[in-house]
Amino acid sequence: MTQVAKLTRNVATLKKAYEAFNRNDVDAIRQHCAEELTYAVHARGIVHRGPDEFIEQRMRWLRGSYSDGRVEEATFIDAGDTVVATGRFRGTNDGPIDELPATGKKIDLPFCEVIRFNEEGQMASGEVFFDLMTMLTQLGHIQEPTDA
Amino acid sequence: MEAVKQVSRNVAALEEAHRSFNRRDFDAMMPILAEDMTYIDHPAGQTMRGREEWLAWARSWPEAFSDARIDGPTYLDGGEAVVALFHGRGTNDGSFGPLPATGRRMDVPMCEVARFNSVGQVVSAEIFYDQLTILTQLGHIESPAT
Repeated sequence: MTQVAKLTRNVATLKKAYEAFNRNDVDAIRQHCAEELTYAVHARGIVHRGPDEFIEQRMRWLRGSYSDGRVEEATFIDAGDTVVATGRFRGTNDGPIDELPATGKKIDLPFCEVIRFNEEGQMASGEVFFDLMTMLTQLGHIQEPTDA
Repeated sequence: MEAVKQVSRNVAALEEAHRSFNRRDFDAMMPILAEDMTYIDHPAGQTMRGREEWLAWARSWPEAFSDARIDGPTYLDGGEAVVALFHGRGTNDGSFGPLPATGRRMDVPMCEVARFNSVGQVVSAEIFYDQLTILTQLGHIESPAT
């Protein structure tokens, strides 16, 4: 029973983090982050270290590029200390993405996020998988290469 | 106890499927795939329906990368769902879709989510990875910064 309660807690925490993101309250996500948090964004080849960097450079960065960005259709897989979420990130690109200017276009991007929790139920490490090619194609920044 | 057995079985099945892929023994994978399975390759925007369509998709990787391997897999046991994290590695010595062979290597983190039915067969699965990483590694595209 303790085990079940613990498993459910981690899924509930990740759900809360998504809800906070969707209502544009990224500071509320911080309370769920362990001090030792590391978070890998594979498509960008970067790892964020620590809650401050994660909140500023991941959460606020996303918000800055997609002010109405939302995590939708999230499905959670409870694998004990690890929770895996699949879903879609949808939003309007109304802010710059680094040096790429805002396009006003909408994206609908499938993603998979893997979050490992510590004993206290805080997010200790995470990684996210998505296709940057899909995103940049939807925004019109890039065209899929062909041999033609 | 029953639940524990079932959980372990699904992880073992996915592990075995990946080992079979690495030795190109596609026949060995068939028993763990439900006939009406679906498989989504998100970056390709492709949904395979049924074993045969899936098989054609799976074979397309070693056609483009003859030494294609699922390397360093980690399996997360979510009961009826199993998640595999691994690196897809290989040398691009064949056509990759419409793109000619480059002789270059790909090494891309991948995440596969497989859902099993009560008899231990995959009924649906999906895979996530970054195509831009692959196309950049092969020199087909220059990544605009993001």
